[in-house]
Amino acid sequence: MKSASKHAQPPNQTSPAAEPETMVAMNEALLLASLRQHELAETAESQNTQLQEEISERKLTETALHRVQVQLSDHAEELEALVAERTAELTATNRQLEAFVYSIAHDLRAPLRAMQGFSDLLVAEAGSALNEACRDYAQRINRSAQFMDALLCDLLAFSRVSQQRVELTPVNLATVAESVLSRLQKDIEVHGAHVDSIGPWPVVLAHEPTLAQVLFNLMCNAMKFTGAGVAPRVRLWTERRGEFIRLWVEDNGVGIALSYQEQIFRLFTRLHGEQYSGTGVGLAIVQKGVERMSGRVGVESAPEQGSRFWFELREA
Amino acid sequence: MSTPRSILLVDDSENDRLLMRAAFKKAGFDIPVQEARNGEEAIAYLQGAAPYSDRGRFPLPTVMLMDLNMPMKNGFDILAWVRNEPGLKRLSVIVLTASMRAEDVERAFDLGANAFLVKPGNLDALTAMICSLRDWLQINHFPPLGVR
Repeated sequence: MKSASKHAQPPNQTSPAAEPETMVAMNEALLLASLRQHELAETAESQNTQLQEEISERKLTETALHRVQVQLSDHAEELEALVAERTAELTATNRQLEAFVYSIAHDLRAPLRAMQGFSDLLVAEAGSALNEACRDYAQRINRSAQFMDALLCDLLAFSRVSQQRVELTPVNLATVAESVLSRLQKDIEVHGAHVDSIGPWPVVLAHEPTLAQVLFNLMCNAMKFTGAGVAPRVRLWTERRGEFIRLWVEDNGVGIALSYQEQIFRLFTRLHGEQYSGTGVGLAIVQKGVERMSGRVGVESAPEQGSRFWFELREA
Repeated sequence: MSTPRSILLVDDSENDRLLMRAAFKKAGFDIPVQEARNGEEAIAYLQGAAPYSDRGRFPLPTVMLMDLNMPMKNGFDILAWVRNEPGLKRLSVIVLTASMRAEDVERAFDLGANAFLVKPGNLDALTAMICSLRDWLQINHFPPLGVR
């Protein structure tokens, strides 16, 4: 500003007409105005340039953004295609697994049927001609085939529980407990068991066939693992725990040491020898079944103190 | 009984045919049982084609007991063929197979099966099943076959 006003002095001095003081003031004002105008023009121009730069920058950004958007949508499409592909692969694998399980049932059981049938026939038709040892051999073949058949049936049940579609609906525990107990009536009599079905029986979210299988297996175990000459006593009751209903199955059996209480739920795990028959699949089915119904399972037990198995399902 | 009755057993497993024979015997089954070892034989038998052209020796069965899983022509193929034959469409067909698969049961009945049985694991259970079959044969009314 200073240099500008100095530079502006000469035209003031050359103006003859007006009163010198007024003229000077006017000139100064004019000069200031023109300077201001100039300044404003410069600012405007620089702002304009800046704006233009910003616009072209924004255009660049927009182009880049558009490019990224296109890339993103390409990626999304790729991802979708990948997901579809993987789903198809999984479905195919699932179908293969189901076919595999079916072939186990069909093909592996056929020779077992023959072993059981012909060893039965051997004893029935030539039993009197065989000596004691040979009859025993034939019966061992028969029992082994029966055992393997039981193993296959249990494996099939496990795979069904693992693979079948499980939709959770409100299920009345009373109905399930009643149907399981009536299915077990004969075993209860054979074992001379006393079963206390205490309740109460609320409605839970479950898949009824799976729930029935879980309770059935727990009941079978409760009656099976008893000490020699001890009549099984089984108690069934429920307990409300927050949003969950816990069903307890308590027995007076041989109990389970703490160190084994986790592994008994694994497939093919057995704690006893031939003293108690079994395939080691029953509790694996229980755990898998409860898991499929979004529940939990556990046990409280000590050797010679009986066991209390429990599972929890959400109340409906 | 108005007409003599007979059974046609169709199964590719020799073991299973032998066990069935033993179970028929144990059950005191006095109805003649003919056997076919696969789908082709079964169809030839039902058509009365050689070597089954003598209907005296190879009569049209009252009931066909049939396995599902067989090589070449399986049980479903035989069933579909039987239901398309005007002279055989009323033949009673019982599926007797190793394992129960829901979709197989549905398909068998869709194709016109009259019953679906699963082969039992041991001889006693098989014999009990044959006894039920014998009782059913005695009380059931069968339509005449071969009428067009």
